[in-house]
Amino acid sequence: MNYLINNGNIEFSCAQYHGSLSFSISSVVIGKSGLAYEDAGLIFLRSPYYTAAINRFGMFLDQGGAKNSFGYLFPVSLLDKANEQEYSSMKEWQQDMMYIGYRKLLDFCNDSNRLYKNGNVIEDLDEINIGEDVFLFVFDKKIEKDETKIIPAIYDKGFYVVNDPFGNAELYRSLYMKRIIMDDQQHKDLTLKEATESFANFGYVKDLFVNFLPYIENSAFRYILLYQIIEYLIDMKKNETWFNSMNTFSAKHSNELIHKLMDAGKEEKLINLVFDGVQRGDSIYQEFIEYAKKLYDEVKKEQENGTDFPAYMYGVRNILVHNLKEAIEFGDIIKELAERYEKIICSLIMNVTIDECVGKGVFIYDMNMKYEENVKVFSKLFNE
Amino acid sequence: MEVLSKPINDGRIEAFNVMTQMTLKEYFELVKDSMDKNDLQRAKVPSSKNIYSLLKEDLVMGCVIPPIVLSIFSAFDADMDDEKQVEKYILENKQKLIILDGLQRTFTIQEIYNAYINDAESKVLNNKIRVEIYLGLNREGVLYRMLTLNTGQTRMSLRHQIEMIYQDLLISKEAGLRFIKDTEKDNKKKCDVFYFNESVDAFTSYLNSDYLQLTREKILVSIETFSDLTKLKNNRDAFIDLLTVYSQFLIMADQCIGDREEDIKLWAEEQGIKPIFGTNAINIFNKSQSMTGFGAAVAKLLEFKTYTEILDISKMFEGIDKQDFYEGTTTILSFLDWIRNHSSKIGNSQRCYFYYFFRKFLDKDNKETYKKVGVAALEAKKSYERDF
Repeated sequence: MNYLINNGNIEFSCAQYHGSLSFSISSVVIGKSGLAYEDAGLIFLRSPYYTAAINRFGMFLDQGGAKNSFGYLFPVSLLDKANEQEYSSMKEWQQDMMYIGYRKLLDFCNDSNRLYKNGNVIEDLDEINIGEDVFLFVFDKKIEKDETKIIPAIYDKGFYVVNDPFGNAELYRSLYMKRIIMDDQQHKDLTLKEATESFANFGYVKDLFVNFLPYIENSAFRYILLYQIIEYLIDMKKNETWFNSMNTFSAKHSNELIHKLMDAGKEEKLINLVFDGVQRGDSIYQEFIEYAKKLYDEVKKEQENGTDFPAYMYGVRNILVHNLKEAIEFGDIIKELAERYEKIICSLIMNVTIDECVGKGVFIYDMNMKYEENVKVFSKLFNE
Repeated sequence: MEVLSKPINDGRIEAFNVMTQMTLKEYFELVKDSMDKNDLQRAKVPSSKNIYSLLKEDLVMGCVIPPIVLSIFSAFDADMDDEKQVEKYILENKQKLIILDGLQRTFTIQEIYNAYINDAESKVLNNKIRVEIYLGLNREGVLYRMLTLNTGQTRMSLRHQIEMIYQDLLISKEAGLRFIKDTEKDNKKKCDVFYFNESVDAFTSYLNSDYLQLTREKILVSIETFSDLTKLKNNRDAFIDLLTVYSQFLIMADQCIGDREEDIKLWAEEQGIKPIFGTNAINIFNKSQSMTGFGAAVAKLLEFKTYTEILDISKMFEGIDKQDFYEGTTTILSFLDWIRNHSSKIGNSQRCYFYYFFRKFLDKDNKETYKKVGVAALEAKKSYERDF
């Protein structure tokens, strides 16, 4: 598509037709953001929490402590004529970012045959029928090429990534998130944190945040879905812990090694390892424990395996999987738990560390080799 | 030019229609003056990659295209049915021509004209086209016909259609009002100086009893039952009346709060409100939001027979309590700020609020809110919250 700004209108044309949309960004602002159209990426978001047209954010990306200016997030309703006054008061770089987003949106509409309606080229964004809760996130692809890495962080800020901005399915509204956002209304910048690299390759993370969580109302089901992240991390940690056990093993009897490996592979221990190094000072962990205790009381269960967060998290999972028929009556408590849990999981994805030895420990171990031989092979591989 | 038919009376818009046939050369020379002087004319669609480039080739080959529709804004005598007389009338009034349907085709013809006019041997400019002309059409009739005809390949925006029809108001100083285009940045809005596009917004809101700016879908739906045509036919020029009354409202508002700008700023600071919407009578009320609300409210009050004509409203602006107006204005501003933080279409929500405000403030049958800005502002808030 080709574009031309003329008297506050965007004129667009492609092989089949030509049209123009009324739009008040003046041509002077083009290029003021320093972001080239080709380098810009566009992600469609929807949010059940942000409704006003003035909710727009400068976006930053935290890359190992360095905060980089990354993009701009604004509601599609800001492009509406009714908000003319609002966008004319915006800074030039912001208007430029909006113009880029607008063109990308039109490209998308063109690709999905939405610019031509009832025999006429549309002339007004209203005619496309795009929902008012849709946000356009324009970002610099040079800074982050892999969109999957930032999806959990976007979710954590109260925005859901959607593949089709024209979908109008009801979105899940978390009361806990809403409270956080209400307290934080004055915020004008958002900083996203990337997920660790290995997560970027884990398709379930994207599915969870894009296709499941935004649309599922049932809290018990949400909790179980979120717990799948823990299941995945447990697998990672199992490899890691076996590797470490073998590498540091110094006793003569191989039976002892087997016992040690079996012990290290216990689910409760692995969960603790998953949360190792993840800051748990936030009051949200304590709140989770309080609600978990309430649930334990209601279903008449006792906590036997510790009093810290991982123990309660595992315990709640066990109640939902094994005692759902008793727990289902306490939907309010489960909702409070699940809403905190999703914040915790987001933070876990952004902070968890997995050692590079993934898979190595299990792969090398050979019961027929002498201990010394094992260590030698092991050590050689480990140090490479 | 050849007049092919006797004038037929169009009962809907009370004008006469004749069918003519002329060469491309005759046609372009007939319309070119009105094209040149019309600075509101829609931009030409670039022809490299669209259907109009095909049209150009067709026209050169002598293809017969659907009739172009023109209109002439000048009184036409119904008895003038002789073809020669009609032709004379058209040529004499060619300065008052407007292209109702076929603007892009005319641009294409212009290209052909420029390409072949110096080519004495070519016969392309002798190719004939049919042109339908409305004679003696008034502004309202033009509006109606434009809306019903203009549904082609490149449609004219609604505001553009109306701006074209009312373009002479831009230059004339009728009724002491002045209208400026928003590109003329040196000119500031005053009590009697309005942005033209905002005035047009106010007028369309009046026509449709709707505070929202018109969308094309809305107009297409309502077009078949264009009940406003009777309203349009009103002898008085409703546009000028509406803006005259609004100008009187602004003068009254300026008298009430003209010297309180600092007070408003101070008040806003105390309330933690950014006075983005405005701090004086002109920048609070001489705005599209307030004007469309006013237009729609006036239409509603006329419908309810609270007033018999628009100009009657101006009498109520006498004897407004200054302090009440000031306090009412702060109530309005605080609610407008609330809307800004909560609405996804800020302008439309503010329009809705102003609509209720003016309905209550101007409604002489409602003694609770009539002439009382403070009470009207609060009541409007309640109605707004019920609606949104």
